Amino acid sequence: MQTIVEARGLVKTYRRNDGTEVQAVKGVDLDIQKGEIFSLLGPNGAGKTTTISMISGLIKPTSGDALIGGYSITKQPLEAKRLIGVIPQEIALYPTLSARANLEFFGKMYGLFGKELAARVDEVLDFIDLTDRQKDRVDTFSGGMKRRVNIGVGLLHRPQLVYMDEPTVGIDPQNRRRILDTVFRLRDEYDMTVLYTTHLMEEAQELSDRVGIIDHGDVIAMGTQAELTKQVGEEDRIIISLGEEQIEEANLEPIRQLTNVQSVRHEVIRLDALPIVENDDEAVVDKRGTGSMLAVRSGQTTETIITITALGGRKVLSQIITALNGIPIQSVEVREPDLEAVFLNLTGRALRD
Amino acid sequence: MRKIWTIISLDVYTTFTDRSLLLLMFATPLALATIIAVAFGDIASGAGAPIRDIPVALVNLDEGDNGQIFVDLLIPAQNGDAERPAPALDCGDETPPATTEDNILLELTDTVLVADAETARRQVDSGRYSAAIIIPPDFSAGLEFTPQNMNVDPPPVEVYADLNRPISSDVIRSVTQSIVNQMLLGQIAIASTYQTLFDQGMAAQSLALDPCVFAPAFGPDAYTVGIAQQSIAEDEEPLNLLVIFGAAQAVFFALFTASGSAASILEERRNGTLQRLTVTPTPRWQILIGKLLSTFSNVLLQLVFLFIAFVGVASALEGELLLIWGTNWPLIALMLLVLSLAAASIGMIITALAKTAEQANIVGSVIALFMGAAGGAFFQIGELPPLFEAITRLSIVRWGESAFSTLAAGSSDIWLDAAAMGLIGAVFFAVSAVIFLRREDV
Ligand SMILES: Nc1ncnc2c1ncn2[C@@H]1O[C@H](COP(=O)(O)OP(=O)(O)OP(=O)(O)O)[C@@H](O)[C@H]1O
Ligand SMILES: [Mg+2]
Repeated sequence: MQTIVEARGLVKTYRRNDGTEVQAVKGVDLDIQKGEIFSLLGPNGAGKTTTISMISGLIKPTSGDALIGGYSITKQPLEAKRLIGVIPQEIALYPTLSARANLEFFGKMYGLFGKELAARVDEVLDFIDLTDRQKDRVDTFSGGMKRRVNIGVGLLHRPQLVYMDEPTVGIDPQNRRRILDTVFRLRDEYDMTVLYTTHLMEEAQELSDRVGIIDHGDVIAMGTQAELTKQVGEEDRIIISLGEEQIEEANLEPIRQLTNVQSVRHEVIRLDALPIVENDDEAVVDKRGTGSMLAVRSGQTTETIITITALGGRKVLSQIITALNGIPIQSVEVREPDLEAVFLNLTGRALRD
Repeated sequence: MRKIWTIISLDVYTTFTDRSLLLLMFATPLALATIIAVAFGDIASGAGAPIRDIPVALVNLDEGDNGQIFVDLLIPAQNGDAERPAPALDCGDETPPATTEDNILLELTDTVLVADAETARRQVDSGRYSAAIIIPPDFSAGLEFTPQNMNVDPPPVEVYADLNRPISSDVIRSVTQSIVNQMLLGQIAIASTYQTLFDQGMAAQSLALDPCVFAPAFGPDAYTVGIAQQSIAEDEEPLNLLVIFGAAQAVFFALFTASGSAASILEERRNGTLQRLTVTPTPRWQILIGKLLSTFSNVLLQLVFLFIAFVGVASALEGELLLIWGTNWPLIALMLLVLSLAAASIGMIITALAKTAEQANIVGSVIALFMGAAGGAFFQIGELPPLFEAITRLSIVRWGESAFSTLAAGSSDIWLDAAAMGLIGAVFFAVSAVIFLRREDV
């Protein structure tokens, strides 16, 4: 395996307007192998965008460096940048220009001219399925179409390495599916390496060959999904929703006494604080990651969740329910070790917090 | 090089496909300069005194000398000095006689003496005169300071004007006002001198003080000095007013274009395209130069278009081709280039210091307005106190207007103007480049 991104000790300290300093990234090491889909998974504000900005040459690291295909991004930025296609988190296009004009402009900035440029633009328009709308101004496009142009611009120069920074945020399920399929196509049809950032465990799980988990500016774990989940052991997680019902800590004591149960904790989630898109299943999954869709639909405002980790979860489930001693249960879910569990294990917090 | 060109083409294309921007860049300065120039002067005549021969009826009912001063100022003596009416104060030969050529008022108006006020008013109503100046019977009595009449408070001189000729009426009203003011000033000066002497117990001598001592300072010839300011651009080489106002308005609006165009960097930062440019394999200095040159190109294209358009307007008014900027093409081209560069770098420094595009636009407008005012884009500036005079030297509107007036007058002495603008351009661009290249947030 050949390493295409090798970042060492990346630090970024921002100075705020009031003079205080924020350490957004605190010494990140990354190794991304050629030809893989690598996800950088972390909650909002973890430092994903800042990390991508440093390894794409947009901002200078406060310290540390990254080699891109062997070129230092700080010392040989032009050579390194040629290898990278950046797809920014926010749509970054000229709204009054047509899709084609946007592609042509950035193509030129990547050093493409003449026939080659025209051919690449045609190719990309076909890839993002916008050949028939190429002459239309971007500001007349739907959000999903703009996203596709935004992606297309990063692919014109056939980069070896593509950075996609949370490309599915604010996107409807259909377009999101399309973007995830695009990521696979880039790897499988074009032999590109993809660095994909997300705060959604499900996306990282579906896409990644390898995952880096980032939190508070640190990469706290890196490896294949199997390697990472092994760290949390063989434990399953049992997630019990009590709906709006409250529970006393004392009532959880019988569960703690059960053999094979490792940990028990409960939390009350305020549902009205979550931005919920009407009829949008994804928006709920996005924030919750548990099977409590029904609850949200019925206009409920809080939800009590008990999270239990246990070896052989399915076997102890009936004992747990007995131990709850008649407290009404709305739903129960048993999860095998996953990235959410890894994050919980490493940080003591759920990814959604 | 190709990438710099790509950036320039994008910016110029974006600017020139924005209709509201085009309106601001071209239609507005063209219309404004034309309106101001036409309002201030008779362009077609191309002569020095832009407004001339306004028909005025003068009714002198005054029983004293001061009414006669009005007559002297406004109506030329028929047959040279011989027929010249007696001066208000007979102080002998020290006062040189005012000649017709000296007196701009004689050109400005075509004044006729009318015997009574009613007739004069009727003739203004009928359109024969633009205005009637009616001097009341006790004007001199009220005006003149004597130890008996210590209050200088003359009854008002009436200006009866035709409202259908607003410019002529305004001119006559302000001419009248300024003559009266100067008479008052003279009398007040005399009065306060008397008062001072009187307070110092020198009443006896002061009563005997000969008013002729003051005459040279306040006589009719002195009045013309102030009144000359009523006319515009009284040069030996009469300039077409479109040159002065056209150049000033063009540069003034070029400053808006410059700050708006340079501020597109900030807009691009906000919509993420600048970040996108930064991650392409393009050195930062190329992006910076590209942005400077695209601002420069927008301004240059605007100026070239406006300068050609002003030739068009002047020629249309004149009825024949009128090359108002002169024919020194190399120097005209040079001036347009340094002017565009200076404007562009002013735009760049505003952008370098601003945080948002809105901020840059506001600061840009303030600076443009200041430079416009200091450069005479809205009104002629006369003598200024030294401090203000120094400040106006920062205005490229001033340098531009001065250089183009010089070229239009057929002279080629514009090196100071060119150097000043070159310096402004170089310094501002260097400073903004340093700020940009050191800026953290792209
Ligand atoms: N220009 C800046 N100035 C000051 N602080 C910043 C700046 N950019 C980011 N930060 C801070 O750095 C931290 C990391 O931000 P970053 O955008 O890298 O997070 P992220 O993981 O991309 O989050 P998200 O999922 O919300 O996009 C945050 O605390 C953020 O407030
Ligand atoms: Mg981000």
